[in-house]
Amino acid sequence: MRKAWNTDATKFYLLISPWIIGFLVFIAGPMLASVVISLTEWSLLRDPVFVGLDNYRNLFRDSRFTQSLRVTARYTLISVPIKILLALIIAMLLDRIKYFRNALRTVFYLPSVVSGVAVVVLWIWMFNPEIGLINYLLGLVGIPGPRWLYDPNWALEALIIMSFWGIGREIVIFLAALQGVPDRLREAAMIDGANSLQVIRNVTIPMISPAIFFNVVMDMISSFQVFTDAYVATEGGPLGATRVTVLYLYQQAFQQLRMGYASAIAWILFFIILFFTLLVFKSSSLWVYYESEVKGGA
Amino acid sequence: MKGRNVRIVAVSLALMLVPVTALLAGGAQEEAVEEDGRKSHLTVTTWETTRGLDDQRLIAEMFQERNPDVTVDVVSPPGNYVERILTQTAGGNPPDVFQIGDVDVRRFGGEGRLVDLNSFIEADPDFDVDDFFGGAFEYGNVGGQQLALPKDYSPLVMFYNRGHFDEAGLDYPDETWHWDDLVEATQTIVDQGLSRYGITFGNLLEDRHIEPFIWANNGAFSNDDGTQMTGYLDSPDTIEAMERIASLVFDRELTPDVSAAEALGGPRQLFYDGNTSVLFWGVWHMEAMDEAGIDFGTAVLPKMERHASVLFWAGYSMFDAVEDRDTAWSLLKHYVSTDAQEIMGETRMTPNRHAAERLGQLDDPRMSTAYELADYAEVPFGLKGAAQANAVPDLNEAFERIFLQQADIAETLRDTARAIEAEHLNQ
Amino acid sequence: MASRNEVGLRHLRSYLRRKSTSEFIKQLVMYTILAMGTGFILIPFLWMISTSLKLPHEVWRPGTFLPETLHFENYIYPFVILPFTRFLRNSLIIVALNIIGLIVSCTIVGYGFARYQHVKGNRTLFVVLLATMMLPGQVTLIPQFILFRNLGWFDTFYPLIVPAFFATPFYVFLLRQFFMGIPRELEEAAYIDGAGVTVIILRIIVPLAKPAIATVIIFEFLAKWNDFFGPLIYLDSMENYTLALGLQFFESQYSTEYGPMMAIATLMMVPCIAIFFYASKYFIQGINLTSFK
Repeated sequence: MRKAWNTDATKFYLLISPWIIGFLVFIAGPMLASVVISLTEWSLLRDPVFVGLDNYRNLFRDSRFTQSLRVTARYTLISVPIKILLALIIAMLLDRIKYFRNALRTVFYLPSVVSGVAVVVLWIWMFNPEIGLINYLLGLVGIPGPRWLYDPNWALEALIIMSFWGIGREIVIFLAALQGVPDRLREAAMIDGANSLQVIRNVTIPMISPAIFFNVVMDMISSFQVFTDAYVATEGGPLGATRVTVLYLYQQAFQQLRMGYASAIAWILFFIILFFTLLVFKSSSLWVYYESEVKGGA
Repeated sequence: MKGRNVRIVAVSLALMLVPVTALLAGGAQEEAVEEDGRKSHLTVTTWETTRGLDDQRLIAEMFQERNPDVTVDVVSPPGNYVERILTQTAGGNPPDVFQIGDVDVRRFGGEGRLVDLNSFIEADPDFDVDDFFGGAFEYGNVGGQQLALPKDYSPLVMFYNRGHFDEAGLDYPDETWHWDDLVEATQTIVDQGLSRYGITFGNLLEDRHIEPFIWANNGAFSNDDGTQMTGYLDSPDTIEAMERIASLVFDRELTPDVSAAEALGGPRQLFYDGNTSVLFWGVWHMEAMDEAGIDFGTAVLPKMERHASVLFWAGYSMFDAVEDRDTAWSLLKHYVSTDAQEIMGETRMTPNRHAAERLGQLDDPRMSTAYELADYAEVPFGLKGAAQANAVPDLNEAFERIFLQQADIAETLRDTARAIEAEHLNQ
Repeated sequence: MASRNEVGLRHLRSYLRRKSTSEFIKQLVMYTILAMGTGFILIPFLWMISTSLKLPHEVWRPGTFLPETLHFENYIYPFVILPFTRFLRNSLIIVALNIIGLIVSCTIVGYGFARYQHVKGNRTLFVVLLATMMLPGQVTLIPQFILFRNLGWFDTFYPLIVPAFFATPFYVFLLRQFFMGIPRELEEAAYIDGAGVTVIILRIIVPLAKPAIATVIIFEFLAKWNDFFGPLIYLDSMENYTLALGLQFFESQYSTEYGPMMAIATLMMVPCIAIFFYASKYFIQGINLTSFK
C-alpha cells in the first residue's frame, strides 16, 4: 500500500495538481465555451444562433483573414529570431562587463517597465516621417527614410523595429541563465586554447540552451498573438499591411459584432501556434542541453 | 492501475462541474440592492471624461433631488467604450441608460436590444418633440423606431483664422464662397508666409470627413438607400470632388497629408498653433480654441454645386433589460430636458431648442453658423444600414490608396464600388 | 603525467598573457556596443519625460525637444483628483498576493514537470499547459467574465488573485527550464538521507534557483502593477480600482492628453525601476550560489 503511494507517478501528479485544478476550474471551461461559440453566429447582444461549421467554411474564402495570417507570419518569422539574437548578445555583454553592470541592466530592462499605450505613442512619434528621430538620423547618413507607418511596404517593418525595444524580458532570462554557467567551465576551455567565440559556441550556448528554448517558445507564442502595437499605432492600416490576425479577430468581434466568426479565427490561430510550438519542441532534443538529463540519466 | 485512472477521471469531472455550473447558472447572482430606502437604482454610462462627465453627474444630482425615490450613478468606464458595453451585455450585466453614437444606435438597434421610445413619447404629456431641432431628433430614429434621444451633435463646420485673413487683406469667408474662392484665398495666405497650410481636413482617411465635399459637388458614395455604389462612388461628380481635394494635397500642398498633419499635432493642433488658416471640424472644442488664443470665426462649408454638411451625433438609449422602464424613461427625458441641456450646452451645441435659446447660442455668430449648417446635413453612407456600416472600413481603404499611395482616383473608386457591392451589399 | 602537467602549464601561461592584453580591448568593444544600445533604449524615454513636463500646446512644436519651462502640474494633477492612496493600496494587495501565490504554486508545479520527465503523461500535460497560452484572450474573455460573475466574484479582487495560486503556464515553464539545469546528484544525496520532496524543494531547489525565482517576482510585479485589462473587466466600483486602471481616466475616448499620459507612464515606472535595481543586485549574489566553486 505504502509503495503505491510512493511511486514517481503519484508524486508527479500530486506536485502538478495545483495547476490541474486551476486548469479545470478556470481555464478549460472558457476554452470549451469558445469552441462552442465558434459554431454560432453571435452579435454579443442577442442569444447566439448555432450555424455549425459555417464560420470555418467562410474563413477559407475570406481574403482578409488569409492576408492577416501572412502578415502575422511575417511579423513572427522576422522579429523572433532577431529579438533572440539581440537579447543574447546584450545579455552576454552585460554578463561580462566590469563596471556599471547594475545600471546598464536596469537601462536595458526599462522598456519592459513602461506599459502599453504610452510606449506605442512614443514610437509613433519616433517613426513620423516629418519630425521623427529615425528619419532624422537616417538623413544624417544620407538615406532618405521611408514613410514608415504610412507606407504599406514599411509599416510592418516599423512594428517589428518597435518590438526590438522591448527585449528586456528576454535579456533578464538570459542573464539569470548565464549566472548558472560555472566560470570554471569557461576558464577550462580558455586554458585549453579556445578563443572567445569558441567558448561561447561550445560552452556558454549549450549551457543556457534551456533559456534560449524558453525564450524562443514564449516569443513565438506572443508574436503570433501581437495586438496592442498594431491596434494603437496603425489600426491595421495602411491597406491592411499591419492587420495582424488577433487585430482582425478583435475587429470582427467588437466592431462588426461577429463573435462566432472571431472565435473560429482564434481556434485556427491556436492550431497554427500549436503546430509551430510542437515543431520547436521536436527539434529541441537536437540543441537543448539539460545538465540534469546527462548527469542523472533520465 | 486501472482503478487509479478511473479515480483521476472522476475527480477531473467533479472539478469541471464547478465552471460548467457557474457558466450555465445565468442570473444566479441577481443583485437585490435597495440602497438607503430608495426604490430604484439606475446607472447612466458615458464615454465622456473630465468636463463632460462632471456635467452629467450634475444632471444626475438634479434628477435625484426631484425624484427622491431613485438613485442614479454616472459611470465612465475606462478603456474602449463599445467593447466594454458589449462585454458587459454578453456577460449578463447590460447597462441601463447609456450614451451611444450614431453608428451604434443603428447596430444595437438592429439587434433589437434598444427600447423603442415612441410609446413613452406618445404617452408623456410633458414631452414635446418640437422642443428639439428636427435633424438632431431624427438621428435617433431608426426605421420608424425612436431608439435614442439626442444628447449633443455637431455638423462639420468651417473654422477660419481671422488673423490670417486680416493680415492678407482678405474678406472673411461666408455662405457665398465657392470652393475655388476658398482655395485661392488660402493660397494667398500661404504664399504670403502667414500660415504653413491653407485648408486642413478633420481626417482625410475617414468617410464622414470627406462625404460632405462629395455631396457639395452633387456626387455621392451610393444611391439614397445605400444599396448601390457603382454609378455613384465612381460618378464623374464624385471623382471631380475627390480630385479637387487630392490636388490640394499633392499639387498645391495647401493641405497637409496625414503624416504631416500628425507631425504638427493633428488637425486641431494645427489650427491652435496657427499652422492652418482653415479647419473643417465640429463645434466641440471652441473653449479650447479660445484658450489657445486663436481669433477665429466659423462659416458654412464652401459650396461647389450646392451647400452640404454632415452631422456627428450622440444620444442616450435605454437597454431592453431595464426592469423599471418608467423610471428609466423619466431619467432619459431629464437628460435631454432644457434644464439639463443648459448645463451640457455650455461647451457644445445642444439639440434642445429652448436650452440653445437660453444660452444665447442662436445669437452667437460662431455658434449660430453651426445650427444653420445642421440644416444642410445629409445622411452619410455609413448610417444607411448595418451592411453599409460594415462596409465603411473598406470604403476608407479607398481613401488610404488615394491619399497615402496617390493611386489613380477614378480607378480606385470604381474598384472599391464593385468590391463593396460584391462583399457587403448584394445579399 | 609530468608532461601533461607541463602542457597544461604552458597553456595556462599563454592564456593568462592573452587574457591581460586583450581584456582591455574586449571591454572597450563591449562598452561601445552597449552604449549604442543604451542610446536606442533611452532616447524614447527622454522624449517621454520631456513631454510629461510640457504644456499641451508645446507637445507638438516641431524642433522643441525640451520644454520651454518645466511644468510639474502633470505630475500633481492625478494626485489631486483621484483617490490615489486607495488605488495604491489596491494595487499593492493584488501584486503582493499574486507574487506569493505564484511563487508557491509555480515552484511546486515546475519542479513536478522538471523532475518527473519519465512519468507517462508528463510531456502531454506540459503541451496542454503551453497550449492554454495559445488561444487569444479576446475570445475567452466573455466566458471567463461569465464564470467569475456567476461565482459572485464580479467587482472583487478574487478574479485577479485566486488564479495565481493555481500556477501560471509562463512561470511554470520558466522554472521548469531552470530546475532542469540543476544537476540531479545534489538531490539524490538528500534522498538517500531520507528527505521528502518538500524538504528537497525547500532546502535544495529554492536556494539554487534564487535568480530564477527573483526573475519570477520581478516579472509578476511588473505584470500586475501595469495590468490594465484584468482590473478593467472585473472591477466596477471606483473604490476597487487599481493605479493602472484609475490613471486611464486621463485618456478619454476622443482627446488624448499627451502631457498627463506621459507623466503617468513616468510615475508608474519609478517603483518598477527601484524594484528591478534592487533585484538586479540580487542576481549577482546568485552567482556565488550557483557556480559551485
